[in-house]
Amino acid sequence: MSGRPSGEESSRTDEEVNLEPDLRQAVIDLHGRLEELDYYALLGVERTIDRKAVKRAYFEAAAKFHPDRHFRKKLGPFKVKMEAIFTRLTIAHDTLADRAKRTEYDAYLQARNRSRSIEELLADALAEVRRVEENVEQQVRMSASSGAAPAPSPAPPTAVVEAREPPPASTAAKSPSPVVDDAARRDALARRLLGGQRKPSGSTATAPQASPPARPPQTTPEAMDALRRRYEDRVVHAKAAQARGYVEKAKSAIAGGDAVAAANALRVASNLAPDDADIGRMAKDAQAKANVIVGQTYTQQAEYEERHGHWSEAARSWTRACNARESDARCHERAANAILRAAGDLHEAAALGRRACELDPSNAAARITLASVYLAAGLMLNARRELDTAAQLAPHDVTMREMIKQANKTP
Amino acid sequence: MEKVIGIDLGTTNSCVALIENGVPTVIPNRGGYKTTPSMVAITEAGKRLVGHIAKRQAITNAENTVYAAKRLIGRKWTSPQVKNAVATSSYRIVQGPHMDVRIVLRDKEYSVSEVSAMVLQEMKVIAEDYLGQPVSKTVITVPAYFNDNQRQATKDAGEIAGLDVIRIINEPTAAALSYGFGKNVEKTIAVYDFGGGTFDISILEIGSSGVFKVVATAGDTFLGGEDVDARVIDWLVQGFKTEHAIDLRQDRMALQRLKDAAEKAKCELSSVRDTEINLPFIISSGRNEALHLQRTIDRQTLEDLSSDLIERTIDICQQTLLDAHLDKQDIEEVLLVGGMTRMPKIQRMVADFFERDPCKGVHPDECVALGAGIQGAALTDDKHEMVLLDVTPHALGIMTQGGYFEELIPQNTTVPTHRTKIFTTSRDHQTAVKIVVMQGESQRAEENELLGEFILTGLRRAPKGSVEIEVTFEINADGIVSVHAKDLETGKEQSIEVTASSGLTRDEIRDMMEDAKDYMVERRSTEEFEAAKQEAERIVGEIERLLPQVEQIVATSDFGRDAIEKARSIVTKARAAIGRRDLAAVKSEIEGLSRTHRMFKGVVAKTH
Repeated sequence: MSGRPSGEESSRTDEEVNLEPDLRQAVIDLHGRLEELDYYALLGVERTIDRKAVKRAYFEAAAKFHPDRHFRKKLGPFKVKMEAIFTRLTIAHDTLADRAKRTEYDAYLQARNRSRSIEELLADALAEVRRVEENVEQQVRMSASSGAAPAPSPAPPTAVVEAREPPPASTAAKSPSPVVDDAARRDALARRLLGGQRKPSGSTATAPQASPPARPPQTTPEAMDALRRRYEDRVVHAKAAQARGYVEKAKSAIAGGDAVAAANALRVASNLAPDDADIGRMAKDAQAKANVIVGQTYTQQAEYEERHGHWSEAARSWTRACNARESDARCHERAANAILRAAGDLHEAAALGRRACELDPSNAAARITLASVYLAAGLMLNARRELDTAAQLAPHDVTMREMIKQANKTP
Repeated sequence: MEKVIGIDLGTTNSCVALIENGVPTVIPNRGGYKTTPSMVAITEAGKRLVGHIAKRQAITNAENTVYAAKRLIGRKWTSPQVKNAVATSSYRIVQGPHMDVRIVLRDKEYSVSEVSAMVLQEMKVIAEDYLGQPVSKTVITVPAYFNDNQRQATKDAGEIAGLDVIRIINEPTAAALSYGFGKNVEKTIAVYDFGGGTFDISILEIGSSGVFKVVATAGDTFLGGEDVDARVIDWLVQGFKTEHAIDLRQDRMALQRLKDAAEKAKCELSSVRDTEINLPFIISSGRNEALHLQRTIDRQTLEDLSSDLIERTIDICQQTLLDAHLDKQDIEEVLLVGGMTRMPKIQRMVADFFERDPCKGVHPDECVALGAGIQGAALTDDKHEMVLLDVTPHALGIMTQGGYFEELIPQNTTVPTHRTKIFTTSRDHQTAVKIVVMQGESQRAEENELLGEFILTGLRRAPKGSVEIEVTFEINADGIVSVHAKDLETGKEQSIEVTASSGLTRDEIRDMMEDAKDYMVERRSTEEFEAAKQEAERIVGEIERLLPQVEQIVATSDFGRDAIEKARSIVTKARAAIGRRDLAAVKSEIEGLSRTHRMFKGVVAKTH
């Protein structure tokens, strides 16, 4: 609820509007959010509410917002706003008070919420991979500086390491070839690790516990490489450990019947352990299962949107359904059709239409949709070609004959 | 604060009420009666008489006494209802200059609104006498099924009478307001309103917050007590003809006496089993002797004479429940309104239909005016926390190519409301569209009521179907309809506020349709057409699947061969309609297809 701009609006209309300030504010607030509120939120009721209570809530709201409550008073711009609110309240009531309409609406809301949470999950998965990676590096770094144990390190030793920073940094500047940032960072890190090394082993054993100024000349390129490898190994191991955690998570998600969460966890896992073939296989498997659900959810949502003529929403949902159902010709055909009707991107529509035809070459509907897209884009030759194919597939389809006529008429 | 009066402007009687000290009160007229006959007469001396005094002299001044003017208000000269009234009324009805209806009294023509205004003026005077102060604001009731032209004509009558008509409300709704006033109830009620001239049924929900929501309303504006009277008159006239070979209808004065007697007998039969109709010297035999009409009518006879009319009202109730997706069990109270509901047979049939005894708490003659008074107070006085959510009784839409009616706002939509639909041009290079605004339920535009029209110009020259026009209908809380049309390409807009009028005839509409052909828009019907096409094709598929079986079963009979022939022709017609992409035709073929399909299924089921 944005208080400020509406406050301005209400004060601006102060003189000519004969309406209590509270109600005025309520009208502005509600009117501004009409589109975003679902019917339950609009009526201010719970999802589980019964029919009688829906009516009660509607009547209460109607008693407040019906323009007749302010008959022949100066309402200025508020009259139209109140009428819009009232119309919306009525639609909400008519939907929720009718069993069939409400069931349909609930299914739609559920599909929408589900697809919303799926979208959030997907976005989260990538963020999570990034977060875990950073964590791992940090931990490895810290454990390296505090000792061999990969346990979280206490703060003081780190502070010691930090205090020694300047000299290694100066050697980094002396490195022979220009290095990319990442490499430089790792070099720096490796040197820091070297400085913090308490248990010498392998080539690094040559590094005595000397005073810092003595160290830099001893850091040969080989030693640097070895250090880097060691560091990377540790990171890989730590990541693998994390990945196992995610695999466990995925397993329990599968046990709980949540294929989407499982796929997501495995996605994170396979990102953390890209070389692990098992995890890769599991992830692929889980993704396929999740796709079935995601595809269903979006399809369901898209069908409702289609039925109610919300074409741009339908276009979006169908497109997402296509991502999950890569080899479903109908999804692609409907997506192309919805984009066309929503006056969306014709290139995208054509690509989807072509894909639909590829997937099911004998599908006349897909040909016709693709032809419609071409017609809309003014590509008459392409349209005619698709229509000719369609004509062979379904010689009796009237829509198509009509379109062929149209295509032939237009030069 | 100035009082707002509520007026029930009835076909036979009118009534005025207001809220006094928080109590809805009917105002009696100078004679002490709570209702006043809706009759107007002009005497030989040119004096205007209204109410009881007009009724009393009706027999001797039949030609100059108007009754039931409400049946003519807002109607066109060519309407069948007016034709019927011309044939049966004792006063003269003539054609007005705008294809409207005029009533001749003492050689002067009056519009119907003027005549109704005389009644309203009388009601205004009754209220002013009672209050001792001038009254100007009023809420007037009309039958729920009145269209916008009839409502407008009623409003005009109020204006002519010097009244500010702040709202027109429906009679059954008003009855419900009077029932629910001051009660804190949550109920779904049915109002069965059988008045002198019209029958209405409304379903309302009464909510705890003082909200009255009309759920559905339907009716018949030409079905009322007067029709029952007409049956009794017919019965009397026929009997007299058989006995004396004289048609009493030829004599206006005799007809007026018959009318009075029939109405009186009908009312009496509500409380007694039989009654005598005695009209001495009704007519001359032509052989220099006076003939008398003397007959006894019993309740059974009256019920037989009117049974089909009553059944019609029950059918309408049934249909209304269906339309509202309600069961009889959902109705928690039934109100009876209008004089006709005093008839025992009607009370019985309504109780049988709704399976509950009607409410005794409202007065059938007074509750409508009381409700109007309540609405007047609710609108103007903040003390009354009450709001009425009304519906539009008829669908609103526009005329499209081919003379079809395309609905934008369906019947029984709660107002205020707005709806938008997109249409396309119907001709190549069409640069203008005519938006013809209509009201009604018929798919054929010409069968609906014309409300207004305007032209949107400056469209891009393009092949038909490629320019899109967005049409928005809006009904505000005052019931005023406005229509906007917008060229989606250029953003150019045109709109009108529809002020209903009477004045155009069906013929004029037809002519106009011809003229306007080039202007018509086409529904952007792809979605709807595809749906209808799929449905039709599905049934065709079913029929064709069953056809061989059915053929085997019935081919031996002529009747069977005939049926199969018919089925084939329906399928062919449906295919042709699909081929033409004619949505309305496909829709209507679906009916025939479904019938055929049902029949086929029945035949196959019977044999197996």
